[in-house]
Amino acid sequence: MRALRLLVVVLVMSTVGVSATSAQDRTRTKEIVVGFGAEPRTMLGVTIVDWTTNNMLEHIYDRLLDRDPKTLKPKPMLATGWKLVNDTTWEFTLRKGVKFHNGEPFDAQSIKATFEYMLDPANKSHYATPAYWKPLKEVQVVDPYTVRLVTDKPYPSVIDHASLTDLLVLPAKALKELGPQKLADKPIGTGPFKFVEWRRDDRLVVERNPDYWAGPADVSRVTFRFIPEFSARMAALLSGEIDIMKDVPPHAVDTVERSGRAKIRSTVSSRINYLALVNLKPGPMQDVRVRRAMNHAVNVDELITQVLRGNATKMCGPLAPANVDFAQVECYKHDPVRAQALFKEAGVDPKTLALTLDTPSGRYPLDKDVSLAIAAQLQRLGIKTNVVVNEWGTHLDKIKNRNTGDMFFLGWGPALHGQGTIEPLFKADATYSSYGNNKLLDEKIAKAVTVVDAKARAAAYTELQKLVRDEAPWVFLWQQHDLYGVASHVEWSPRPDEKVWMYEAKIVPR
Amino acid sequence: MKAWLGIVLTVSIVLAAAGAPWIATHDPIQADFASGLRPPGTPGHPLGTDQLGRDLLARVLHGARLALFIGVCTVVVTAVAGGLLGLVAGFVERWPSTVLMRIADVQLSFPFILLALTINAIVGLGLRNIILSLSAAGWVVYARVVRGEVLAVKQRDYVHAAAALGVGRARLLFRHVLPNVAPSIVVVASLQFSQFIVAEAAISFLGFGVQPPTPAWGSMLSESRDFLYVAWWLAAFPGLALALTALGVNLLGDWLRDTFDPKLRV
Repeated sequence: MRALRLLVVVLVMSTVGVSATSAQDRTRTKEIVVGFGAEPRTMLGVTIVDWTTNNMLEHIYDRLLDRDPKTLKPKPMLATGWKLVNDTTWEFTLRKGVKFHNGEPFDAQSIKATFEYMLDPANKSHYATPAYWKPLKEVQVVDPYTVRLVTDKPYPSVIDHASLTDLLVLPAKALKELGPQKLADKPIGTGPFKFVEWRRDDRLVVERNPDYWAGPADVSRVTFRFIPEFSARMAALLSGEIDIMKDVPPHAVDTVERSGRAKIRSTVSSRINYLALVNLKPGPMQDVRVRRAMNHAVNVDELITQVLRGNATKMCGPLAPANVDFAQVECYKHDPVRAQALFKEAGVDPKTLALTLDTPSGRYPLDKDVSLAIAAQLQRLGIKTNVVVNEWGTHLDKIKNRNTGDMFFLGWGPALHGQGTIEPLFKADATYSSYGNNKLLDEKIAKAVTVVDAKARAAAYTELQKLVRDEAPWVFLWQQHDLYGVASHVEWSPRPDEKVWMYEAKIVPR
Repeated sequence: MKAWLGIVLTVSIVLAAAGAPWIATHDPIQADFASGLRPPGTPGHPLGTDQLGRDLLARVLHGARLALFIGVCTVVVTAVAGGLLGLVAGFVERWPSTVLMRIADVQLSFPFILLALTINAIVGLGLRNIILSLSAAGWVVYARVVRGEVLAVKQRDYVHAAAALGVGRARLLFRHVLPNVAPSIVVVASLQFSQFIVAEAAISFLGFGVQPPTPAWGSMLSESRDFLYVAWWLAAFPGLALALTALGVNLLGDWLRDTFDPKLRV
């Protein structure tokens, strides 16, 4: 009985929250509270490939280049201009007069130090891998405000990566004097907000940087609250405890709209969701026929209309239309008969097949429910699927350590260029990969990522997408639609690249 | 009165679990997405449906099967293992008794649920492992109670008399001592039963233990949280079933204790 009582207490605590300032107080002081499903994994930039982490970090750090919120094309940020000097050399002109939060000036040395930290194997940065910045051979400081990135092969994705959180710039002097460990506790960047505190499993607080190079933000203080459950996040939004909530469940859209406290803001996201069919460990997913059968067995359209209530755009290959390298490939049709035939051909009896599906809970729109729904669809063919629901950090660790079941559910984004999706997800040695050791695919990827010419690049990626589609390393799912709940006194629009950036938010007293 | 309530509740839950496939005609894991989140009273779904359109009545009843199965298995395993260890410890005394009781003391210093969770994290997920971890965390109570009883019973005249007549030690233990401590084992078992069911629900709620889509009350409660705003029935019925089961079995246990052994304290 005591256990049950404890559970009730925990539930109530998580919904009610402790020491919340009222929404009215916050409007006056221009404070804003954002509710996310998970907490950051570190406070140090260019270390961990994880949207949750980096999205919060880019309030503190700036990228080298930003993206236009509408067209998603790269645009100036810490660099004011860029050009290709030759096939392997990119030159960036840096912004003058920018200062880090500790007073240290930003210049070419900051870029050099950032790469030195990131590429030092001792720091175990995810960005030191071939899919990210490993191709970088040298950072040349031409003068304090001109820097050249030299790669060991032609690498057109330099600009794609420099305009994402893959290049958050760290302070050179502080990095040298304090070391990465200290900076991870108390981060220093050039961003619009300064770090205040990070309480584990509870909140991250940042305050306005009055000297921000693009002018100070309207918001004086941002608190990121970590609330894993959708319903708890909803309760917090509707009670005025938080002002922005990510991923309102589709079935609760009406509740939010009717509340009078908040409204729904939605956008088609560049983020894709997929069901990985893991071939990096022994099991039935080694066989391409089984993987194809899975694609025929799962009814993606039904998942979109019934579970997500239309809030997703179906995807047939590894890339979605938001991706510059997207090419249309033929969809796998929902076809149980074909699936049965393929299972039979592979010598697998679906009736005796027992699979394990790992899923996060609260990280992506209805992630757990989608996973349960997929298990239910597979059940129709007699396949028994155990769904293991993981806490977010555990889920990532399981994927990294190749400890998942035969399948796992994951999202990937912002997925804006082909290399950024295909290289990190289909090569055996990549951090979050579920599939690899395909010689032909490895060869084609290696070639495609070096193509500079636009036409040849399109051809190379079209071929890659067809190949991946045929190899069926995933059950291809969809491009997600992001539904945000935004309090009525906050003016803010979501972006397809998922940059939830409070520098762009305004508090409007009503 | 309390006894009757306990008996009625327990019997009806056992009957409901046993008759699950006949009472609820739906398959508890068969999803029908188009008819998801229907409220109670919907034709064909007296308790409504969950987010995937699965019949809630079927899931609650099959959840009862699972809960009772886990409860019975765990109680049997702990009663046999803990009881035997307690018998031996009480009868042999000297070092086996001391060692066993110190182990029991160490184990009792941890909260039951925490210990069960830790063991579960080590042995892994699944039905067999949850029974294993609950048993490993729960045998101590039997060992302690039985040992205490044995220490008292073996001083009785009839035991001495039997020993004087030349009855062997094993026969003495199982024919003369065991029958006299058996009622205590039964009482402890009935009181432990509901604790095991609640603990299993707690562990499944936290995502360990029995994995979805297998219907377990704990994981059903956990899944219901995302829909608390739009579908109260998803949380209400599994919660009610869990509460009633725990109440019924506890009342039954109280009655058994009052009848067999009013002095026993667990």
